[in-house]
Amino acid sequence: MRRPLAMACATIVLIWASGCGSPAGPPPTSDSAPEQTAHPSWSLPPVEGLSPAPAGVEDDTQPGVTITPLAVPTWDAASRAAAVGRAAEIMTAFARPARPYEDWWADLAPLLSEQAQQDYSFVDPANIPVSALTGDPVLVDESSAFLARVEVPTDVGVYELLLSRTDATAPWVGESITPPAGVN
Amino acid sequence: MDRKTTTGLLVLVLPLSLIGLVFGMLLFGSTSSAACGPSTSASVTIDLATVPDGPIAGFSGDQLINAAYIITAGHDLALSERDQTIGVMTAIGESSLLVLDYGDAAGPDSRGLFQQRDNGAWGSYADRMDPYISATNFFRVLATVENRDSLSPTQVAHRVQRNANPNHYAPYWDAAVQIVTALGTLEGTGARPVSAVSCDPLIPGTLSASGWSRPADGPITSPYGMRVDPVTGSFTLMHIGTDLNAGGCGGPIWAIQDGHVSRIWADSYGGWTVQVDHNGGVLSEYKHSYRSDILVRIGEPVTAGQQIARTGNSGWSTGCHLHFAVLIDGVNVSPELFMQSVGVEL
Repeated sequence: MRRPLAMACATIVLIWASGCGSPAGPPPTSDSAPEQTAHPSWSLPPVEGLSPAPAGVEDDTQPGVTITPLAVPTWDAASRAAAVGRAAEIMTAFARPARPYEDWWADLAPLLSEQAQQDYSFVDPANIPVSALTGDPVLVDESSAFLARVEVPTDVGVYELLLSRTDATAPWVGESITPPAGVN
Repeated sequence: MDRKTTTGLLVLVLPLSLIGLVFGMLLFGSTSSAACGPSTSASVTIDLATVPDGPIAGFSGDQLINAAYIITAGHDLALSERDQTIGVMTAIGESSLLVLDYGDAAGPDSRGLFQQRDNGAWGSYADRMDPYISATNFFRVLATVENRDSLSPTQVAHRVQRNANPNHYAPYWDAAVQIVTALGTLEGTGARPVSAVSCDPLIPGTLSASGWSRPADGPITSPYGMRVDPVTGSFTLMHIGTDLNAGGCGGPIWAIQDGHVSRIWADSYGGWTVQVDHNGGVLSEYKHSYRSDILVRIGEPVTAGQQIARTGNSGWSTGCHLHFAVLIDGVNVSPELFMQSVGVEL
């Protein structure tokens, strides 16, 4: 299994090496870059002095897996709209206590992360206290561009949803659906 | 520190890393670190006649008597101290250890210590209102939860209760541990369960003058950089992080700087990895812990030097160690050089 993968990677590296002369990295930050999330107090050294990994080599902690730069997400209008929209979708799918389990889960599961799918697959919808959204979801925490905390008004109070995304191209998925205090 | 020093360090470390790997393979199996918390093998016995009035963890009188019935019901089914403690935690989260004769909005028909519903699964009204019988019915279902010792307590409780929020019971775990520890004795030894006291405490990292922490203790067992493929001889493999001995199996792993846990995942070889977003385009990644030794949750804020995991051997690894990686704007950089630039020697 490993050999063909390794050879494929070697081929990719050759193509890459002949195409470029220097390690490939993302373009340096320019004036047109999207707004950055709350910048920390410390400053970064120049990446060029830190021996950046060239694209196309094979990760020796995961034989057969080729290293590609991570598309780092940033907060922008599209990200915010997508997070709020996804939160509404998740809450709408979740807040259906009268549905049979199979139907309820079939709609909710694709909107959740792998871990949340394991966590929420044991919920009996008959035990769900919420049955309606009563207002627009609000994004309340942008501390990390990989994470979104969204408050969703419902008929039993304000739920807080945690969403995550693994990179700039991945969709937002639900991690947790936390009811208002006093509601189980 | 200038580049010359770094180069010297790398040259010195390379042979050491090979020795370290060999020793690692000899010394460490693939066992997880010492279990922390209530016993998963021994059961707790209790003398119902000598239950103290309390308060214990804020609970007293009938509440502790009810906890004693729960512990006894678990013991009579030969369940472990951990299972028994999960039973007490669940009843705290459902009823504050009171035999409630009413339900709630989502389940108006819920009754008793465990708020069991009138759906046929939990017996008659009398059964659901009886502390011992309701606990027995709870534990009979709990005993069917597969691999429950590897799940968090609230996940186990949730899989029995099937309530709407899988994380609901987590805030009640510490109180349940205190109650079981105070009321019972471990079968066979007659000793008090001491798990809550002996639980290994988290170890904070030491911060540099500039406020950064090492990710773990050294030495470096394998540095960042290109590798010659041992089979093909080509330079196509790369070690995109720095391996650290990290205190060996169970040693502490620290967040290098403030940030948020942005991802926890198993890589394609089952290597569990924690990613922390430090903002400003900087990510740090910590690989090879066992899942149960990851001490943070996704979304959680962390601070520089906070212990976030214990060193393990999951994934493509031949002994307990930490694979530590730093990404800037999505590209892996040398963790040794990066940490040096912020005043920390790995």
